[in-house]
Amino acid sequence: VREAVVSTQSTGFRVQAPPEETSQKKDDHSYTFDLAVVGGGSGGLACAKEAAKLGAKVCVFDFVHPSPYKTTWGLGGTCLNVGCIPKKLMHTASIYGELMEDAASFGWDDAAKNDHSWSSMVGSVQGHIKKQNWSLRIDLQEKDVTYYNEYAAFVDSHTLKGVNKRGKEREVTANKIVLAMGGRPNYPDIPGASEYAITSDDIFSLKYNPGKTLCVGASYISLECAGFLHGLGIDTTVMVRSILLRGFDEDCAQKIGEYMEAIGVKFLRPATPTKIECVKEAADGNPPELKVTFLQDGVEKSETYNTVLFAIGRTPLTSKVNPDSIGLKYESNGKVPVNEAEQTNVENVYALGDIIKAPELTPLAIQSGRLLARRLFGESKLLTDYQNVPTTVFTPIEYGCCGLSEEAAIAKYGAENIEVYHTKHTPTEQVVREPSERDGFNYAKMVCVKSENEKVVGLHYLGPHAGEVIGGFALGLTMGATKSDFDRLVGIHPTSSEVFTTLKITKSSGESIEDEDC
Amino acid sequence: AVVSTQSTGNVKLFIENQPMANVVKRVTVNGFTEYLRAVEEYSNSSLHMFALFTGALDEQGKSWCPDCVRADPVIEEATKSLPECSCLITAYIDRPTWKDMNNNFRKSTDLQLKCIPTLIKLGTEKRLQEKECAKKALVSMLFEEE
Repeated sequence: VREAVVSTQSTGFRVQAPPEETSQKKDDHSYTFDLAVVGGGSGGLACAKEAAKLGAKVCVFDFVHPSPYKTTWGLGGTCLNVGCIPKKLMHTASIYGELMEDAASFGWDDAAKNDHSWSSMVGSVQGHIKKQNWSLRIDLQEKDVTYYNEYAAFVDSHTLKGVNKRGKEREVTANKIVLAMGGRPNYPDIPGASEYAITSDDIFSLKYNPGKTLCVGASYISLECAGFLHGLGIDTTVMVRSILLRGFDEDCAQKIGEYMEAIGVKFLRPATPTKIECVKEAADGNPPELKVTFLQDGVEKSETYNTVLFAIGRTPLTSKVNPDSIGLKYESNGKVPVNEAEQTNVENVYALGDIIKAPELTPLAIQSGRLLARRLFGESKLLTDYQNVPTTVFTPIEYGCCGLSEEAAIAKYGAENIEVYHTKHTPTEQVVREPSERDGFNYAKMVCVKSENEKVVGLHYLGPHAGEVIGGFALGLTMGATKSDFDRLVGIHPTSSEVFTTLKITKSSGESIEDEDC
Repeated sequence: AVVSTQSTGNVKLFIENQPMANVVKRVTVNGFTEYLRAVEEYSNSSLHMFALFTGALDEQGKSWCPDCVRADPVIEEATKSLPECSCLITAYIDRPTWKDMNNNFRKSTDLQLKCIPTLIKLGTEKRLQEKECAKKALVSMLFEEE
């Protein structure tokens, strides 16, 4: 089918040809594509590019429905546009503020924190993101992956219908289909939420300084956002229903909360918002004034903020892909069950990334996307290993971890079979700075299984450069390292990572852990 | 009909009125100052602005930059599918200017030109560099209306 795009304003016309029919298809089938991927994020693009590299004829559907605040973005998914990348950049911006304070004790004259320009930072961050959006477009074109900027949904198990922003439709058939649409932030069902509040979809491109901000949620998204906002000099409050960072090691989650409180982030807990009203509209580049009514310990209170950011959970976009038309099995929260080969209950349909029940992390989505492509279109039989996936929470005190939390290890192996080694530590870079409320929180913990030669099943680190510290050690966990393997390892000095090579004190001994100067 | 008007400044403006094609403003400039003047003169919110930075031509009409020579016919052909209300500024850069590592094109924070040919959709982060400019599919992708 040849499409003609007719421009009504000129006398000419432009004809858009369908993809080349000359390239060989991988298997014997009569569908247009060997592979159609729904979702142009970390997992989807990795899968599509790997498949194309192996000779498959591939297309990617990517489309972003604007947020209630009307924010939208380009190719690349959550990580590049409204997740990992801008988060890490803004976290870095706020850390610079801290370092500038500490610089004075290193001899830097007048290094005191200057005024921070929100719009300047957003300009730099968005400039980078847009460069990457474009690079990805070039990449797909160069790798022969057809890109449709369209919202796709199933017609049947081999047919997808894409709709572009002008409402124009296109049908495409494919032998294999990979779902990698990711998720979007949840709004609570309270008056004023979607009218006046924002989410992580919006904060990274906000045109004005957010002003006095309320972050609702105990997730890492809420705490990371609150963390960098506070670090940039913004009056920040976190509203939490119960515990912080559910699912993470409770010890470390608690210490993160204490650190954030110590540096001046306000916490309202336990509390839940019940209503948001607009007292004064946004105008002239200034944020609005929002009155938030909330319940704290059963008492109704209210407070005014300029910005309310909800980070109370994310829902996979499964329901939007017309799953019932193919009988796709999915849970009420949108998660799609898959087998170890990422295959759904529909034989030719696969799912990966944030829409499946696995750690919602870019490198994991990329890995599973690539390996899936190699199994489908190459000779590989390798499955993705979902165990011991390291991660880092980029709160003002960073938290890196790999493997099991202390609680999960106790649940799995029994309390008597677990030995926990731990210590506080002070990185050398921090010994010179003036004593401050930030001191005394850096911490390292190693969770071992006694009956397996003290095999290390969990590593936890609170301190600077947490991702850099834990990333390499994750290899030890995947290879079954024991406590004595770590002890035999000679650390690098002076660094924070060496703390894992000299752990001595166990929780069970009851001994106190004092700061270890490097 | 190709209409050439000599303006009082150093900016030469050629308007090509091609049958069966959109009307696209073509502007040719030499050097950085002329480039800035052209951007100021032709930028307005209704025009899609594009800029091509390419090697200057000698008396025989040949460019000193081989990648530019390769890209030229591809870009010319692709201009036929530029959206309506587009303006393409072609900025010629002579060899000595380009070889000077401190030239204004490189130093400009807006442009940060790293190589030629470079084709940019002004006001966006979209650009094609060197061999990318000779690829029909990429140039079309840069020119197409979003």
